[in-house]
Amino acid sequence: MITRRDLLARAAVAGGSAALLSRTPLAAQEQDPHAGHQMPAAHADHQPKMAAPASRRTLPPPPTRSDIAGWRRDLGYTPVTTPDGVTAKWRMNGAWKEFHLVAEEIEQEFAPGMTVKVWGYNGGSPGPTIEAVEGDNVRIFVTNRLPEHTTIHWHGIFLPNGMDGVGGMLQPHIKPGETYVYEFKLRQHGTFMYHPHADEMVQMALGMMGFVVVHPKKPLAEPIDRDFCIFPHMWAIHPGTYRPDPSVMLDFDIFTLNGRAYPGTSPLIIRQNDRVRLRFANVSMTSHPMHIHGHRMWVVETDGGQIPRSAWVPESSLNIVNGQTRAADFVADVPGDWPLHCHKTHHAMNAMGHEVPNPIGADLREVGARVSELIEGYTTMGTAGMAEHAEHAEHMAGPENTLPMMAGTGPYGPIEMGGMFTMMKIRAGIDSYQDPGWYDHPEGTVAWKVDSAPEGLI
Amino acid sequence: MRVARVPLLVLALAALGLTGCASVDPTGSFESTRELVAGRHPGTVHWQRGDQADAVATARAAELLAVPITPDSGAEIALIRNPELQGTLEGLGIAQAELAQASRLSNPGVSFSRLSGSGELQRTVAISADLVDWLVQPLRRRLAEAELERTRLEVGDALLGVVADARSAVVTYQAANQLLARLERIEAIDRSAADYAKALFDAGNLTALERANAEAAWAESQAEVGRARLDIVRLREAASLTLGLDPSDAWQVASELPLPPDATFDSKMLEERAVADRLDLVAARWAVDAIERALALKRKTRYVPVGVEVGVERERETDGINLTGPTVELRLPLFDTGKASIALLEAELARSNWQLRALEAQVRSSVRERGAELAANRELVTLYIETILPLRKEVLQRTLLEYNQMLVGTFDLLLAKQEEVDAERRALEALSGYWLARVALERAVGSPLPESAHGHHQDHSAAASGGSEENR
Repeated sequence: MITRRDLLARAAVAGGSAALLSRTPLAAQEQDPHAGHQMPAAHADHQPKMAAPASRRTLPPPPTRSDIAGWRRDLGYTPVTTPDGVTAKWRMNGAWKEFHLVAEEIEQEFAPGMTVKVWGYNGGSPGPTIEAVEGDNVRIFVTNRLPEHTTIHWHGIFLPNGMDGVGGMLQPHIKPGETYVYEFKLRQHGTFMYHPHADEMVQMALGMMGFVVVHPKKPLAEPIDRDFCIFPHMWAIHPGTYRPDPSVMLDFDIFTLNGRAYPGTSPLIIRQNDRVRLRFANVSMTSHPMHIHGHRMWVVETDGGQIPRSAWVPESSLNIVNGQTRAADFVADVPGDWPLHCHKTHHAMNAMGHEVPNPIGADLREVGARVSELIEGYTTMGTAGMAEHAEHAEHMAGPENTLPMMAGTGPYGPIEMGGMFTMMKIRAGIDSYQDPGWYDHPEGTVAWKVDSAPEGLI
Repeated sequence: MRVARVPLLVLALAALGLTGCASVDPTGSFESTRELVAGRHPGTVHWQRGDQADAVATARAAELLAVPITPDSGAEIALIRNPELQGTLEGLGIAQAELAQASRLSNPGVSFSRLSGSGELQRTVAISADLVDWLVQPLRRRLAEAELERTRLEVGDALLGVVADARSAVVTYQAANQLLARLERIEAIDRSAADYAKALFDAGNLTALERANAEAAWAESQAEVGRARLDIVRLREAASLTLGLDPSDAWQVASELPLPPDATFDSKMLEERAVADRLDLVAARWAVDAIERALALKRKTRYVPVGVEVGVERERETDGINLTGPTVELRLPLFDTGKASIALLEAELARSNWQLRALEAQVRSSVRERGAELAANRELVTLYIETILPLRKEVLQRTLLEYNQMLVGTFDLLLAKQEEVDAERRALEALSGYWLARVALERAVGSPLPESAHGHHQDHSAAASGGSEENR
């Protein structure tokens, strides 16, 4: 007996693609430029081999406030923004909202000076954020252009058992070159994830993950103005190499937000008094306490959906445990440049040696001079702390494809951060969410130096 | 013993005419020896005989000593000053004198017997003695000539031995000095590591265990330097002895061994050359020939009233058999008709032929072995110069890049530097192995290798050291 599902799968394998099933025009494409960058082409040749690495996808331009208002009017929800990432393209096909994910290897720039061969979807890691509304029937095509088989598990979503994506256990693996289709009705809302459930240690270590955001059918009482999806991830990309090492369990080198490491992360641009939602998800090997400055956020959503208002918890750091998603809201009422970062300090740094003998406080002047005679180009460093490293990094060469441990320069000097660090730039009266540059502090609102320390206070 | 009187006088006079041409002056033999080995060694051998030439040779040696000694200049100095070689050269004088002696008839014995009243009988006895001398004199002379020839070969071979010993001694001493420089650098690296560990320990950042480990490593490398310094004392003594130098001679060796010249050798051709040229083989062939002649003589004189005893003296040397030539004695064949002597000589001849073949096989084998050693060391040197040392430098450079980003620490950097210096040390071992193998091969072949014109080695010393002297 041939089921409809079989037909679909065969059609897909036979060269088919979404086009064979498509009757309706690409409904969402024109009306939602924010979501319209990922429409996959019809892939006629499903070669069971590794395709050439895709170049990084083009990011959408920053929206204006009126763009967002228009989308909210048309869609009934405020579309999410995935900083440095994209939202999945979709179209309506009868009752079905269709998406297409292509699993593939990508050369992705984590920050200027560092490019990584990651595995992701549709040109990036994390893959495009799939966005839908509670009650939608979704059909997701998955094409495998990896060198090995894969599947997709829809993490946290209620669905038929055979759609859960556990390779071997619940479905055949999607072999290289094959396209499978997943179909289910979204019976809940919340922040979810997708990731492989086939050789998952390797595939997630190499970057395969993405958000699924399901908006509630009933609009929120307090509409969101800016809705951000942020996927922290950690990578073992040994200094001087180009590909994540999946065998590493604890000793990670590079920490990213949406596949970018500071200073490669793009800031979150927010208008003063915007209601902001931050959504986080985590498939890495440890938890990430995501911390915001200058505000506190109400934890409003878990993987299980909205938390009753009476149970909202105010936090300045929200720990995102492995395998978990969270959403938190806040009103951005204080303008300025506010950091948003993982509060594990090593996660807000770039590559560093974890077994370097600690030179702090040691008198290395004499021995350092002798080592300089033995080894041309040697300089002692770190005896007073590591801050000087940020300055060294500017003139002392390091291994190829390796970000300095700490980087970034602000209006007042080196920022000395890396990894899972970004900024929320909150400005009064802006109409476009373009990077406004550094905050211009009002007179007398920046810490200043005094001529002498006070007496009698300690 | 009685012999007719008149013919004896005639023959005695004729014999006198044949004698007296052999000089006691060995200069000619020396010159011909020098010719024999000309082209087989660098420099000129000088025989110190208290004449004006001594001053020239002494000045030449002083001139060579004034600049850093190379293996070839060391060999030339040894050829002038090595006292053992001078002693060996005196062998030429001895052989020459023996030849001169052998060339003369013994003085007629004039013995007047008081026991007998018959002067006639007395005379007959005296003439009888002359007769014996006259009979064996040409033979004796021929054997003394042969002995001189043998001595010339022996001296020539010894001379080449001194050349090889001197060159080896200089190469070994040069290598030891270069090795010491590397070990001193390793010691400096270990000292820095120990001091660094101490500074971190004092700051409370390193365990006492780690500090003790670093300090132990430093102390060990000091011990290595101490051993190497002792080696240098020993090797300097050995080189001094071979070159014939005194403690008063202030001398130095060239600081760097040159890189191997670009040449490969046809091992088969070298074997053939060795078999043709080696003086010990020439001597061994000559000895076989001499035994053949002695045997022929013995056969001819077997029933002569005055018997000739010929024999062979031989001695064994580590590198082969050295036949020191037949001996001759005269015996009266009263009881022995020489049958056993002939059998002995026949056996000796057979044995000598086998031994000649054995020596040839040894020479060929030695050439092959030394040639293989040379080729293997050349490949090692090339591997070090072209691959390992550049890689070690790259490792150091890349470690420095990682150090700059605080990915590794100073200890890793010092370790990378130490591995670089250690690779230089092993490159040096290969290089000295090459030059020692080359000296040994040239000694095995008995003449310089075709491609190597002595004194024309290109000096790649900077490259040989890995160009890292400036890092010292």
